[in-house]
Amino acid sequence: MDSARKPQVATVRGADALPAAGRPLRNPLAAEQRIVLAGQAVLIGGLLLVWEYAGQTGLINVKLFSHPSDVIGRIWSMLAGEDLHGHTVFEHLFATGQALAIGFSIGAVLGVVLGFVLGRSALMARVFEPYLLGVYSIPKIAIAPLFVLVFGIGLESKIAVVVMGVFFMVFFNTFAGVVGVNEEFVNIARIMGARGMSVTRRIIIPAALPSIMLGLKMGVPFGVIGAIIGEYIAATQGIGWLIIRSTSFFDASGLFAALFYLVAATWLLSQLVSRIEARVLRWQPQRRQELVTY
Amino acid sequence: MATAPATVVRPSRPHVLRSQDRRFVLVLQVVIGIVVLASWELAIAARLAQPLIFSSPLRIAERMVSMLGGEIVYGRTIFDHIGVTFQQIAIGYALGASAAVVLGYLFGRVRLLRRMFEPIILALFSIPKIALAPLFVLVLGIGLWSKVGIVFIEVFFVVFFNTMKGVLEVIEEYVHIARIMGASRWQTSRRVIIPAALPSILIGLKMGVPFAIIGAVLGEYIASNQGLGWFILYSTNSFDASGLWAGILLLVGITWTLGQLVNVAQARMLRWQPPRRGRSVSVA
Amino acid sequence: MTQPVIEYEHITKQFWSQGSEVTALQNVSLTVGENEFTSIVGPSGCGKTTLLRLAAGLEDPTAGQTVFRGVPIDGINTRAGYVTQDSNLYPWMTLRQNVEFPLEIQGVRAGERRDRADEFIRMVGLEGFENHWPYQLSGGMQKRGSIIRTMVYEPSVVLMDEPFGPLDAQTRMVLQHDLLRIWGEKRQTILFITHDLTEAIAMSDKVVVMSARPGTIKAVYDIPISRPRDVFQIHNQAGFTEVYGEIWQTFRSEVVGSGADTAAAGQGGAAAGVA
Repeated sequence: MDSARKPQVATVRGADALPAAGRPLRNPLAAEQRIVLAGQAVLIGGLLLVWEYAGQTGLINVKLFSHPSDVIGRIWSMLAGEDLHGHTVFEHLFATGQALAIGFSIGAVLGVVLGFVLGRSALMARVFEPYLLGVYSIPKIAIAPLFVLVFGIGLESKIAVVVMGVFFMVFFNTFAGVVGVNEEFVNIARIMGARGMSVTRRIIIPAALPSIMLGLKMGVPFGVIGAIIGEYIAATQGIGWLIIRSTSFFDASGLFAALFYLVAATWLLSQLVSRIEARVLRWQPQRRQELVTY
Repeated sequence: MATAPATVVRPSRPHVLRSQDRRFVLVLQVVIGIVVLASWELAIAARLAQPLIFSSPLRIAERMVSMLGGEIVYGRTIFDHIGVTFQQIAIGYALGASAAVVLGYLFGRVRLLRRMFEPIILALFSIPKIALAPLFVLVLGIGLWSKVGIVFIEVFFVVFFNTMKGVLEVIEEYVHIARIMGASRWQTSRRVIIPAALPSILIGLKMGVPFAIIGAVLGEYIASNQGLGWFILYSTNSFDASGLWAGILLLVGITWTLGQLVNVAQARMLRWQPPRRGRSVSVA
Repeated sequence: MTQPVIEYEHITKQFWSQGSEVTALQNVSLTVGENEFTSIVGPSGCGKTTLLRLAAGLEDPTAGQTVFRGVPIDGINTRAGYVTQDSNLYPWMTLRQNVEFPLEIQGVRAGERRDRADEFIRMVGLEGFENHWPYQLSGGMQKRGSIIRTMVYEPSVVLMDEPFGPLDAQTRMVLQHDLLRIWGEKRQTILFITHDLTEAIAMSDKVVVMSARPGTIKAVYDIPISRPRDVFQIHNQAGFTEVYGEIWQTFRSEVVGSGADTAAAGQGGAAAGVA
């Protein structure tokens, strides 16, 4: 029984099968890229131009808004060591950095230690969980005044706020890292005869290290925020203090310039942190760690 | 020949607790709480530390009661102050969230827009918002609008990114199915894309609440003469530790309450979701 | 051949994938007739889904055109119904709301919407589940819901993309049976994609066999097996074995050549053994 039908059109293969109205196919995304860049240039360039124009012609109050040429001039003069309420911009950055460095060290150590202890003891973790979450839920800006009251104006209260910011980030990630250590690794080591501290040093810490590094890395911006909050409330120098000071002196170009230095310093800092992370985690396959932020 | 270890090796067990352990944990927690509060109170009573700087649980409780009873604090009741702060939060949140949802939706649906301007928004996001706050004060002044501005940017980014993510992750076939059935673009938006993106949008809106509160308080720290944040700072500068603690507790209480309200709203709007297994956020 | 509903005229479809050009379809021409149940079979990647998407207006051809009832397709084709491989019931709507959805889009009154939706819900045995959320339904139930969601507004043409693919064998047969029952009543034009040759022959009036990529039409077969067909015992129905053997010869070189689909190869072996 022949129920086959011949195909309605003979199948054609080979060169003569090219489409009659053929046009070469271009990668659509590549073509779009030019429009994308153009759009970005127009937006940013346009805004800068409008801003400059408004500033030059007095459409806006330059004390409140400033304008690009002023800002760039200020950045330049700050670079040259302009005196800003008693210190150069670098001295201000140093003051903030000092609080950041000390606070970060303290907060990181506390975070790792506590994360480790609670990570290895289910009981302790369960008991302290509500307290930790409770304190964490108080926003840093609300806790900062408490530190100011206790430590007064100056470096100590700044450091305390930084510690708050860094501690939780490092703690939660260390905790997750330690809890996440594959218990099989630990069991194997113990069966081989390894004891206590040796197990900790050789097995648990390296296994938890990626998470710890992640917590440390994410702790940096939180530390920066802590330092700046501290400076807003009670300080006599620092880049955050400088920003507030510029505000009350109606020094818009100073404010923008200080902002510029803050962003630049933060960016440099994060680059440094990335380099360190890469070196410490050389053995790590390119796995994406899950960030614990709650 | 290998010798057996001198002691039995017990395998490490993951964090699992039995019910009697749970009761034990609760008891421990209560004990710790009582011990901490009691030693604080005693330390102050014994003048081991300054009451003006540290206050004590009883003093704080006393202050809370009187404040909530209508005590005039620096010219107004605490309710007036809370009202001022709340107004800033509400307006800023409404504006910020609306703008963010609209833009997040557009950026999610229009690839060109996204490719062009998302990098710029990301770059702006990388500037710590607290650093931008004084700028708002400079430009918008000491009154309501600078705080509204700060709340706006605090809320905007988190809602924007979550909305965009939610819209981007909408299964494209959902849209095809509707369009082939004859749905117009508007019908498709309203009946398909937005409901599909809603879980993510709600997450963004929820996360925006604490950010909004922080923004308002921050604004009041920088420049204000009323509001809960102003009250907290003024207490600090006046060495009024009880007032400071009371203010902080009120702030935390308000944050928690708003958060719970959002949770309830979220649960109602997402009844259609399969229940999630286990606890969503767990330390232990 | 009945009145042509869909006409593919010299379709070539190329697209950009991971930095290089891919030719999905090469100079394909095909006519789908009114009220017929037509299946398209072929190895993975042969472009059968692309053909369906062209008819739905979800894709434009690189060359050639798709004609629907005499009018070239330009943009989304709302005159056809489309059933996707995954059920894709909207999770935020109950079963009934899902099934009523197309009627709502088209402005049908609430009362009539409910009646028509409930009729189809009954037809596939889902009474009692009207107010369930999709996540509360099994895979087979969701699939039925997805099919009646398209059938309910009675499009004269239904495009189906491997709708029974993700289901287990028993559920698949039950749904094939349900689909044929609905089709028996409504007699739409159905264009049905599948990689399962048995399923194609069991359901269809015509089976189109495609080559491996770049996709072309190798052959089109009439299926002379009489209706109604018993999908549960299709191997025993008169004419099945011969038709299967014949089509399998054409199908096999494409499938085995492209190194895919051991299931089809297994079936081919069994059929050859019987014949």
